[in-house]
Amino acid sequence: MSATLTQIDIDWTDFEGAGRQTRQYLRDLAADKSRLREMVLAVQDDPKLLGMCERRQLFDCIVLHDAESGSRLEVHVSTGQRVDHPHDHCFSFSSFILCGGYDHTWYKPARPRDEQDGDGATPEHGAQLRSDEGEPATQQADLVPYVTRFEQPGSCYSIHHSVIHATATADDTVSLFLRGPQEKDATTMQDSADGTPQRENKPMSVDYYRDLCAKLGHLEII
Amino acid sequence: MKAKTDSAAAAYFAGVPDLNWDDVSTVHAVSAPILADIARNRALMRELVLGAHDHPALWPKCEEGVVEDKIVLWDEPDRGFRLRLRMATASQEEMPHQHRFSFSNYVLRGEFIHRNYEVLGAFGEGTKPDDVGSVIVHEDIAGHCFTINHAAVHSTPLPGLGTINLVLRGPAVRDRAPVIFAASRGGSNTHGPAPTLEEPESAERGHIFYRVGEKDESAERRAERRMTDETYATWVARLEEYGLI
Repeated sequence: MSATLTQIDIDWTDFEGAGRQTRQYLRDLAADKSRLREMVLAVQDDPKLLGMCERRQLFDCIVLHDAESGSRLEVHVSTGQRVDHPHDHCFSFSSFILCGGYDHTWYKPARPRDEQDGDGATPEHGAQLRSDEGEPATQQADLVPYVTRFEQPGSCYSIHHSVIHATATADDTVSLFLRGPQEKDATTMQDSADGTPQRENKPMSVDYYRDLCAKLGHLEII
Repeated sequence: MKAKTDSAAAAYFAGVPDLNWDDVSTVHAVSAPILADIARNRALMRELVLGAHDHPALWPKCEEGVVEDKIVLWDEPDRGFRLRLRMATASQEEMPHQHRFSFSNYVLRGEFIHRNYEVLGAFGEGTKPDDVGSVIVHEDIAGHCFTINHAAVHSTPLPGLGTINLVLRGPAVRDRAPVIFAASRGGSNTHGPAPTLEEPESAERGHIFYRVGEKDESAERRAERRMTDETYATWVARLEEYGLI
């Protein structure tokens, strides 16, 4: 049986160490279907967790565990909206793909050629993402794709909160998601060219949650 | 530059579209299916590997490195691609680096940790190990494929003999690409921080070397790096044993 999250001391300020720990945790949980089923079905008896479950634009989110330390374990189920815009997160996280998958691209802000050295080097990242006022400073047009891959069932990775990335999701994609505590007040990416927020998270009803559980059963995830 | 035109490989590559590597997310949509297609076509893989040895343009490009070897399987620079095998020969250190070209990598066998980094300042001669921090860590396993921009700083330390990758690369966009040792490599005559133009057999943490193209290597260096018939025969036997050809 997998260890519970409360049994694991995760120091997310050490991205390498936290990533190593959390990927191992997710791999173990993915391999323990009965444990995962138990955790998913237990949510209906936990008003706090049920209240944290959300219907998001790209995926529905069932919260399996919410640790005092800020770590949170979730199951994400794709909604049918496939393409997400480049974005970053306020927290670092690890993910394990259970079924389906998505094209996953890491972006970096484009820089004028004269800011690069003779090796075509990568400019420093963090300081250029945020304006002095702390307002979102990067728009999609400024971005260059650096790495693209298809995250397939079994894919497992960790991402630092500074990373700007985007996904294009296949139908019936389900993933395990283990995030750390919030590490910044706001993300640095604008959601759209005119700055209009595109993300609207809705609470999840008990009936919707039960339908999701049935879907996870149908997909043989639990 | 390509192999004989009456081969199955020639027919296969005649059907492959020219590749534009300016946008890795766009080219990945084309290059990843090509690599997966080749990887599962054992007869084609066998023809490519066996054809490399006697090919006047491909064989001189096959190399033995310090920790990995490569066999060049196909080369059509005018159409934007070169296909080769990347084969580990030893456990590799974490070495953040850039490439002279953008490329797609398909894992044929084995697994490794793939790190992408953010760098304080410009990546190159002045970079220290602590200037380089991982921001994406991915567990790459057989069947996974990624496409990466030449400017990205990453590392893919292969764990040892038996890890094999199929690489489809685009044209070189710079003459040399820096590599930094994030961990030391043991041995005598350890290189200090002064950069070198060749990959050292031993180095301190923080040592930087540059990978350069064939055209910038001396004849002596080329001769040292060229794959021997004996090594090639060993690789053919291994690839057969692994069920890849």
